[in-house]
Amino acid sequence: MTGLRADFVLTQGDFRLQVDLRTEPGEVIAVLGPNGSGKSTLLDVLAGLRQPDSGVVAVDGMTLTDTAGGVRVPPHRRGVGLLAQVALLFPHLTALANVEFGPRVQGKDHTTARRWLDDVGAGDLADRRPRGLSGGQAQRVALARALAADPVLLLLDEPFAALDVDAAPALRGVVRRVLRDRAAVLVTHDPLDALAIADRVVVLAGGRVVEQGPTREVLSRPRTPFTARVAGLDLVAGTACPDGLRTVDGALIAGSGGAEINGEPAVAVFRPADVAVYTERIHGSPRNVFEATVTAMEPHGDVVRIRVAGGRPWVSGLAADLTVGAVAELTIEPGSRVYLAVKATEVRVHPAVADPAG
Amino acid sequence: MPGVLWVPAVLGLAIVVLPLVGLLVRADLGNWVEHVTSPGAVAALGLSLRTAAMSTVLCLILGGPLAVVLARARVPGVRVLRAVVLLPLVLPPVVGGLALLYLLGRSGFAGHALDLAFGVRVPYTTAAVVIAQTFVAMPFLVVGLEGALRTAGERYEAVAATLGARPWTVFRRVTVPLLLPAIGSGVVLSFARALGEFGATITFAGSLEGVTRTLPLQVYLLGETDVDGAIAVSLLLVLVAIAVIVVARPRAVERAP
Repeated sequence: MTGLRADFVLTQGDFRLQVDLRTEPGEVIAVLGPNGSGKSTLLDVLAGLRQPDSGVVAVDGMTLTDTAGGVRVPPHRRGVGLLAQVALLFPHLTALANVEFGPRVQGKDHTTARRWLDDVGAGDLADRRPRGLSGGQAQRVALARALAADPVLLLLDEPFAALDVDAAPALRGVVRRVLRDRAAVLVTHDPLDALAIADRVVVLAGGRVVEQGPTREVLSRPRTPFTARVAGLDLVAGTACPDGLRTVDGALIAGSGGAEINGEPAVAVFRPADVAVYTERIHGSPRNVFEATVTAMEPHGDVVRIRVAGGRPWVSGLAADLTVGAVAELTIEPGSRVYLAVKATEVRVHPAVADPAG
Repeated sequence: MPGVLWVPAVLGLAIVVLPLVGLLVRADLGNWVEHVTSPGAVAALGLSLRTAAMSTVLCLILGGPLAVVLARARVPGVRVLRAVVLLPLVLPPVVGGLALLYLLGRSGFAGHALDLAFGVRVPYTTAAVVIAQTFVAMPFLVVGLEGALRTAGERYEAVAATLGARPWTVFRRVTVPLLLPAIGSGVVLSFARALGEFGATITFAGSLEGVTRTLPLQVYLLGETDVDGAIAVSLLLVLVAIAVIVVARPRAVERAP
């Protein structure tokens, strides 16, 4: 018995999506990636809504797509369910009738529908029309509808993205519970979703899988700027050297872990909270110092996260966390000239994919 | 909004409303009932209602699937087809009538074949009236339905498919129910257009009382001889038109070109 296997190539104009995924049975896999990285196209191919140029899609040993063998199982016979960003409940049916839709059209027992509604905490909504439901309620009903159709694989396309901040955590808990023993692919931009729900993470950028592995490992040791950004980490790409990392323009980022992979493509990773910010150049300190200009400031929990741009290309996009008091004291605002400093002991050098996209 | 726009706006409204006022002022309202219950008017009304109803049914069973194909099919040239379907909307109806005549008339290639094979002659029959009305009315239904299909998108259908519904089930249980409002207004609009059809009908079907003389043709005929009768029947058509607008608003009237 195998889980999901998707190994295909799809081109559309200039865009090329190349994917090779394998999961264990019952595993939940999170797909992270920036807009336009091919996440939704990947789901369309898995659901059978789009045909790849070449390749194979199989779930639990059942081949759904095989371009070489001429296999193209249509969406309605795949057993692949879909939960989209918006609930897409059929507006002419009640919540209960929406959930009954799958079992009914498959000629199965539809009395399970009410149980599924109860299970997602929407039992009291059974007789309501979709128009009268809130976003969170509708998404619960949509989840029950997808599960009632008894899919072998469930696809979730940013299911919490359109919900308000109160509704999202509750639904995340429900999804986490119902996916416990079920194969699923979750597309998201939020590392919290991945951490909460997924066993494995796949990072897509520019149509390619740039990173995949166990969730925590990928998020705590990211190798691409995108993964670092979603995981809230700073990251500088370059080549590993004994003292840390050498950037493309020759600058040294002092850190640990470079000696073992000397000469290999690598990334230096550090946390924004470990970055100190000064408004004047500092001297005689065993630290990495980057000259930069503040481009954005946003509240981030208890702190203010500033983003910077700089003369050197790799400085752009780095983040530092400051307390509100420090921001006031330093009188920093977008456009301010600053110096970022990070201790070598806080910088960790990881091997990276040769061409970190994104 | 600049206040100066009120001037052309009021003039524009006057062009629409004042002619109707003219009709009302000139009308012999005292004898209206008598005029519209004259044998000729009653025959024309009955024929109009029957033919318009038949052509509306034809519009629905042919135009509905045509709208789905135009909105959903991924075949090259579908944009050209979409433009072709709009042709009767912009073509003078009399040209449409001539075109039908030279297709289905005795000298037309299809009409000649029908005559030889089955002895069927279409022009100047009630069937010709229905065909002419369908020709001019179908675009209203197709355009409205196609627009609604495109607005609704294919996402509901995709979800239904992932729940295990086959294409025909999806069409029956998702596509059609979602389209019902648009179908309703499309039907009303096509019916109204069929009811008012004149140019194509008189060219292709002629004006035989009880066979092809519909209400608009009756108005035209009376206009030569009995002006009061013509006005009375015209007012009847105005009433029907107002009823149609009330029923079909706001969806399709505002969307149709």
